[in-house]
Amino acid sequence: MKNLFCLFMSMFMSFSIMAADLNNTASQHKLKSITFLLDWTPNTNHTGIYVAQKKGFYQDEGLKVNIAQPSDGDAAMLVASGKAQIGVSFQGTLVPAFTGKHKIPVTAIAALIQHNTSGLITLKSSGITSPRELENHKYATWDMPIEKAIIQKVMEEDGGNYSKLTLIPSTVADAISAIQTDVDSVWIYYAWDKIRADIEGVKTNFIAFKDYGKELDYYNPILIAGNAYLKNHPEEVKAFLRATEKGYQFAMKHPDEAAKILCELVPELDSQLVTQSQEWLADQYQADAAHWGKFDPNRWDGFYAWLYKVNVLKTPIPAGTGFTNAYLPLD
Amino acid sequence: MKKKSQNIINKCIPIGTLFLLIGIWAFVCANNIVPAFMLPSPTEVIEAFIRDFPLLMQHASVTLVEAFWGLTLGIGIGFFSAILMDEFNFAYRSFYPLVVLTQTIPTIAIAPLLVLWMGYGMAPKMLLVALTTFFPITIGLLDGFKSSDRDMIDLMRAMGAGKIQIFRYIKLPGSMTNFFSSLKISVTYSIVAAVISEWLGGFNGLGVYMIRVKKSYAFDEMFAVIFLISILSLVLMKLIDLLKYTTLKWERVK
Repeated sequence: MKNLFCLFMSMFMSFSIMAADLNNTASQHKLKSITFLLDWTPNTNHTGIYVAQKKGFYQDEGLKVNIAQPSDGDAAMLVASGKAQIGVSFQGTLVPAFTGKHKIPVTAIAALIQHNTSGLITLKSSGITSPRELENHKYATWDMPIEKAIIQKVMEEDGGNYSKLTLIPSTVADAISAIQTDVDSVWIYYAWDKIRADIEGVKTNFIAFKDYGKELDYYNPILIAGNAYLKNHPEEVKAFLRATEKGYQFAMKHPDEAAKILCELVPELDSQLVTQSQEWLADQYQADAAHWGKFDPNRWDGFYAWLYKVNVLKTPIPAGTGFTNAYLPLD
Repeated sequence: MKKKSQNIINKCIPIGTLFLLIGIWAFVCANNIVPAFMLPSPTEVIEAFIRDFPLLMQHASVTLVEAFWGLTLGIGIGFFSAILMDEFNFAYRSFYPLVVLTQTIPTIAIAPLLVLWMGYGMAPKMLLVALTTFFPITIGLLDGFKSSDRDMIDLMRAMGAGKIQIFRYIKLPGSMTNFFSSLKISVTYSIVAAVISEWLGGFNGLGVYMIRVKKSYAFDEMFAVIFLISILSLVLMKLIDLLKYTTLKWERVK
């Protein structure tokens, strides 16, 4: 009798647990799942997405966004193959996707930051305040043709001689400590490493690439999506971008709160760095553009045209390749 | 006659399997079961190999030099530590656990640290190769020394032989089979370790080439370099076999 009672109790309990679980999965099935790939560890470039997640903007649009990190910093292949739907990439990184023997089927759908906020950081004590002064100094390079072409252009625009620059292989994990060793200059993003240097009290100079040529004011970082996904689920993409824009608008208007949300969802980040970075970046997300995320075709095409002009590209990339404003909420 | 045809059949089976796998691969690509941008077809890989052959050879020579010097250093460390640990029990008890510990640290974790401490030239790469390759040598030699014929050693001692003579006439030749087996393992590790250390920074070498083609999404060239690395490891293993055959003449009598 006792054994029978125990058996019934356990069956009852397991059924009720299963029923409760069924309820959860049933409500979750109404939300469409999207895998979103970052380009690196989470930072203030991605704030809008984290805000949208925390504040339920994605849920309001019927989406469930899973934010993931690729193991090697390249979302393009995974987005193209459909393992992830949307990811973060860079206009420069995508060049081989559009020029290789087999094109990688991805398209840029939104600009996370309107203007190029990257540049070179150097120690104030090195006295390197402009690219010309990089002569006879060292630059830590990833050995990428586009990267080297940009360094060459900024040096030559400033009247310097690129061949006098010593290139050393970049094993830089931390730009601030690197420039305090025998590396003189490192490629960084202002919003993260320059702010960090200021917080840590390391006196540095920053040379912005876009100051040395309008061709260098290209788009990074950007959001990309696989072409198959765009074709088959356009409404989902538009919903994602609507919610994401709301997240970024919030970050622009309330940088401190947005910083708190980012730190809450990514506790490994240093809150002082995030807050100050967010305050600087708040004006940069949309900057002078009429709408968030919109690409200016002249700037996009201008960068690729310049790459062809300086022989980094052997064949030109046709104008209008690789980006679209069609999924953005422009109304 | 029967043995010869058996040998031929034995050799045909792996070659046949290999061709079958390549055939399946070509079929998958030709029918777009996997999209072309994700998986290059065998013909594209061969074309990439032929097209980039001079460049591949140039990078391969750099990698081979790093592997060679690293392996030499590894063999040196291996011999030295094996002899030390065989001779002094104290050394064995204190160093052996540490030696085993070094092998549990993932190579990819040590490599950037070595570059940080030693710069970005060839030195950290050779050291990484040495760190990965010395362990099999040490273990192989140590086992070989310990398993030397006790009776022969006693006989030599009775005849008044010193430690060095015992080593030279009994311990060393007795451990040579073990040594060559370990060397075969180490030689494959050496190539892989050299490539991994090149991933982290460098201007020349197969690892650098691999990173460049990966960033260009040129997967046909990526497969080509992967196959080249395999072929290099196989060739080196065969060379070790040849070396063993020529030096250990007494093994041939079998």
